[in-house]
Amino acid sequence: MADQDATRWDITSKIAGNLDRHLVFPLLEFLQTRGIYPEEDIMNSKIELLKDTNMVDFAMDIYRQNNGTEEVPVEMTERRKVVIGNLTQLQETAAPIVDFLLDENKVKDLRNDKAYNIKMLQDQYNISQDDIEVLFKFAKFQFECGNYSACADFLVQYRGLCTKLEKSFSALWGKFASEILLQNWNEALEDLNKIQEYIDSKSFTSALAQLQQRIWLIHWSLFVFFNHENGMNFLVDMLVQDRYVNAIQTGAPHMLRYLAAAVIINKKRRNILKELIKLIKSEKYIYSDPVTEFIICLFVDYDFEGAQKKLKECEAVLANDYFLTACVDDFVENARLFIFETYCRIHETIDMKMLANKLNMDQESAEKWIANLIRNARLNAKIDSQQGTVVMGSQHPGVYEQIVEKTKSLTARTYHLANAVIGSGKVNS
Amino acid sequence: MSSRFFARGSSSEEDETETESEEYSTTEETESESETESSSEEEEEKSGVNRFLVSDSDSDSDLEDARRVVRSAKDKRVEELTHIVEEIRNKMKINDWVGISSNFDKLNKQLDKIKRSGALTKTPKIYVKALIEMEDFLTAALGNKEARKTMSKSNAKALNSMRQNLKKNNKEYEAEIKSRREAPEESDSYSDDSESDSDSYESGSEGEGEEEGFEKVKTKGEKKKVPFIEMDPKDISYGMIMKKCQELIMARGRKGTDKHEQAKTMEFMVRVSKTESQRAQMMMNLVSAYFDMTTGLHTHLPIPIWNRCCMIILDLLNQLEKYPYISVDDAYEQDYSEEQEGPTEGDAVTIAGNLLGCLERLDDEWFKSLQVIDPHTEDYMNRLKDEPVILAVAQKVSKYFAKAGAEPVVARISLRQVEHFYYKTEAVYNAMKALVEIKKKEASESAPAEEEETNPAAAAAKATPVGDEEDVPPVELPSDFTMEEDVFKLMKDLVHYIYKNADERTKARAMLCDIYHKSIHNDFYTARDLLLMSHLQEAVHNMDIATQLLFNRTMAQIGLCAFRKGLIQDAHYCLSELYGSGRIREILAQGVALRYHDRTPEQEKLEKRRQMPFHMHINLELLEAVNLICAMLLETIYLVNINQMETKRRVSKSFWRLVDHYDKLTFMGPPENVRDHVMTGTYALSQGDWAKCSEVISALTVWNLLPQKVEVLEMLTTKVKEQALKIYLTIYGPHYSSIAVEQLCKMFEVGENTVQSIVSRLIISEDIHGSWHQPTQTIVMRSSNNNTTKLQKLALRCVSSAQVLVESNEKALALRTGSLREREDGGGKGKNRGDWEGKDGRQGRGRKWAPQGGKVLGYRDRKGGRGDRQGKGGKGHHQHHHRSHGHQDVAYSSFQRRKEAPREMATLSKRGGRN
Repeated sequence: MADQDATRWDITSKIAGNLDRHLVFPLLEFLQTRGIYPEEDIMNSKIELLKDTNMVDFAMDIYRQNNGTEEVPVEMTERRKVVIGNLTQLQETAAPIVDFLLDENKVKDLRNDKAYNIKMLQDQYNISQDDIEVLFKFAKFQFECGNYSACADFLVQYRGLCTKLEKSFSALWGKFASEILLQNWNEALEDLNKIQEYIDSKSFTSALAQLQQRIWLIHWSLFVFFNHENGMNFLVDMLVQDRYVNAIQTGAPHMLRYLAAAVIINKKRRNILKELIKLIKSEKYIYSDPVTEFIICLFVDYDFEGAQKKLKECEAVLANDYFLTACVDDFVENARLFIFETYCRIHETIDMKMLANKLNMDQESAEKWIANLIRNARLNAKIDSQQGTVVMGSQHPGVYEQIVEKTKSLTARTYHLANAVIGSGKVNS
Repeated sequence: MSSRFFARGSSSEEDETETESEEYSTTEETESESETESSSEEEEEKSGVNRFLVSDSDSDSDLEDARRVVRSAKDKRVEELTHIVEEIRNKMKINDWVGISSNFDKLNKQLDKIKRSGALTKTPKIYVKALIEMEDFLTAALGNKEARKTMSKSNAKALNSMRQNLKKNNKEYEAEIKSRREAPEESDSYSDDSESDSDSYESGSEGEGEEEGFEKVKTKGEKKKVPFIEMDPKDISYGMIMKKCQELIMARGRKGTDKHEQAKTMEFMVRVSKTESQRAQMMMNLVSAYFDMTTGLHTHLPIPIWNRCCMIILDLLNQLEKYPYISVDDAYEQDYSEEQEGPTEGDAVTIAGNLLGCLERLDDEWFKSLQVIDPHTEDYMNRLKDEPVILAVAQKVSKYFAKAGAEPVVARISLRQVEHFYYKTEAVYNAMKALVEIKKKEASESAPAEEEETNPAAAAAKATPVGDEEDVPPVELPSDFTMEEDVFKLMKDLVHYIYKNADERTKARAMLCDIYHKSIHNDFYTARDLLLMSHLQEAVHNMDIATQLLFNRTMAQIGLCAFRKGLIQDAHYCLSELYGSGRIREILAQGVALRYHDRTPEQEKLEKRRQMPFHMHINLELLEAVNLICAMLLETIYLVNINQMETKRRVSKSFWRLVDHYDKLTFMGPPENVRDHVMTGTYALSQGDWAKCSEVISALTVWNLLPQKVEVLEMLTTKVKEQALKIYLTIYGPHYSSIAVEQLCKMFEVGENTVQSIVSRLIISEDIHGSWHQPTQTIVMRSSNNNTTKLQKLALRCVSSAQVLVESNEKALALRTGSLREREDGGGKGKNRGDWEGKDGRQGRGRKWAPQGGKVLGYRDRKGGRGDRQGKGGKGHHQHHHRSHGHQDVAYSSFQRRKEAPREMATLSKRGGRN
């Protein structure tokens, strides 16, 4: 069954475990549109998801839509009452600080000095530390209600006034989530970097907690990386860091899919391919999916047919992945290029027909494709159209080139040597 | 007799140090007396001892008791007195009056003490005797004017004051001195004789002094009562037992205490004990009495006694189960006073004792006995069959403590249990389970016979006395002992409990056992991840030796497991580290290596104690075979590829040593041992002759030890084929202009896909110069040497010479300035490297076959050297690739790095050149 195949490689559930409730929602929406799971299941999980948030109305809507009735369960209406009660109460307690913050003229009085601000608030507006803490709660409540922009605003202010590092850090996470949900990718990226810095710099009480934070960060950041225009680079840069590699290995091997995809799509980060291959190889026993298998086929076993097969599977997998669905075409194109490049490196003569077959093109377009590559100087080859083959140019460096290569560095090294012996500055060559 | 004599003789040295704290038992006095007295008549001697013992034990009468306590206290003081007198005698010999006078003061003080305690009715004879001696000596000294003149000033002064003091002092004891002088006893003459030998003199005179009083006690006792052990149980009261028990406890550990006799009395007391709690207490004491019967640290408890002991512990545990109001506490001080009445039944009672200690001791003794027994005898098998009993005891003790809520204790017991299970494969475990079932059945069959004796004490009484140790029945398994159906579940439960509740060391050990167990069940990845994530590799150096040994054994098992799974590199990594030390036997605790000069006999003894019993051994031949074969598969290629040899490090030292050794041999006979086989295989492989190689390797007998023999051999053959193909192409490739895939497939009996994948890899890594001709499915070789002219060759040589020159210049400068290389690296290309390495050390999270790790028993650390060499190797030719290697260092194992780096550098440089 096609459905089964699609769900087999679905890792939404693994990812969802490391996300905030609100962040899971887009994933579910996406799955709904793909239709690989029964509609009902998704609806139910949506309700399940919303149950503990304050978005009661939304939950009710879904319930109605799902069950086709106007009635909603009693606990939902109950919950609604509670939520509204909480809201009014919180609004009251948070009123002083919120009013203050909403007044632009007053906000101008704030300076870039926490201690001063707190004192000023205390003295002039009678806003105590406790009130500031209420602000945090209020922001959280807004977030739960789905009012992300208000939440983000409040949290920014809160961070400006908060003195406790821990609290400020959770506020940062909250802001990060809000920005993601608001799709402000640039701000989100900023927050992401801040969080990353914080996690790396601060010594956590236990290494385990730190690891957990990293794993969360990796998951959350997927939203940013796959939506930000330069995201792929950031993704690769972040995940190849030793600490994040460790986090992936210990807690989230499914992240390898994204890393692998990002490396394939992103031409600029090919240099880490070797590392990636080793990583995938060592984690093969824990996690493998068509994307990682593709890499193994191509770069470890040099099994081009296998790679071809995997590539087809990849297409389906990627299409069903919330994050990767946008870059399926990119992925396929680049993967094909990878196959071809590797293929060329070890072949001298290739039959065009076979090649076309392998590349999933007809012969003519394949010839065009290759011709284009040759013209763009990306391929040192010639087409023998009479025999229908591609002949690779010699890759073996001649003796002349070898000598040039070897002697290239000698001058510089000698220069350094001389410098070191005589002392810098005296040698001018 | 003679042996006993010697024993005394040697122990008399200790006397002086011990006397202060130790009280002398009557038995000992008897012995010392008899020793000096008679030396020929053994018979008499024996009877003498027995007589005394009887009297000793029967002295437990109401009247005697009060005096006996005093006696023992008095004994101590008298002992000190004797000591001082002895000191005075010594001083007299050297004419040291200062010493005499100070000792005289001490003597008087001591006497005062004794008098004050009210224990003394008349002046001790020894004191009087000392006074007489001193008087005599004093008059002699005063008479000898010559000597007085030569005396030192202080000495003369002391003499004078002594004269006055003695005079004053002696007035008090005038009567005694007189009577003594008038009727000098035999002992005097005797003591005079032995004056030259002060040691024996002392013990002799002391024994004598005591004897008189003691004789009296004895005669009294004999008249009034039968020996305790033969008394009618009805006549014995709760308090009496307590009293007697305390006596025995006091005598414990002292010289000359007859341990067998003690145990016997204890057994009796268990039988006659009045209340359940008292019985439990007596059993506890009996157990420790049994444990006392070991003769030394290095010998094990005799098996019959062990069995008996085990039985008592089981009874005790039953007792505790049956009467839950009895609790055991090792810090509790039992009240042994005689007057007390037994507590009423059902009240909460605490008894003193350490159940955990008993269990651990029982286990240790069992372990020790296995170390000693010849593993090829029936005895060993029988001994092994006792294991379930220990487990049963452990289970019960654990249950007891679990009820009491003592988690750390339960965790410790769990570790004991784990240590019994971790090395057992599923099959062995099941066999043991079957044995338990059989034993249980036997027990239940014999149970009806004993049914009338519901009283556990009666059962204990039925056991033959300690005297004849021949036919003690093996301990029967308690019927409520159950074994977990599934060994994996059992291990999991125990280990998880330990992780939750135990201290660091226990946890580490449990972790290692867990890993070991997982590896012998082929669960390589879980085992490896556990090992790497627990960071035991880094921490193991700081642990105790037993744990380090366990770590080594675990590494060996992981290696074997990886091998069975066909993960040659991992296997090689684990094992080469072990073999690198060259003391494989020692670090696995499977035999003591020949004498090293740097070891004292104590160390050797300690090492012997750490040895693993035979049934836990890892087969060394198998281990060696696996190690060498892994090395062969990985490194033969460097044997033939001279280009790579230069840049490569020889990873497996043991393998290369062997290669060098066999190279020197003029003739090579047919393979006999493991090494021969592997070396013959290596030569075949280096010719690309896979068939012969695989045949030789498969002929090894050690494979029979593997349950998955067929699969493993298949795996090996595949690996050999792959390697042979690689080697063949590397050596003979240049001689071909083209090779068809088909032909290769036929030659190596492998599939087309495999050939394609291997050849492609070789082409990519530039190990063979060639490329595929796809339409015809052939490899077109391009020999680089044929096309080059002589001039070009010379130019190449010139360039490489220039390179060498620059390099040696750099080296020379580095030597002078210290670290030119590093600094230069740090400034430019290699900065990353240093950084990363640093992080590597600090971070240390996650999975790595840590390059630091694995060193055992404190052998030297190679890490620094390794890094260095890496740096040099990399830098010389390919500076600009340094950065990427720095990267790589961190994320992957040092071994992989070593293996892959140079080849990859070659590729990179080639590619770099092309671009």
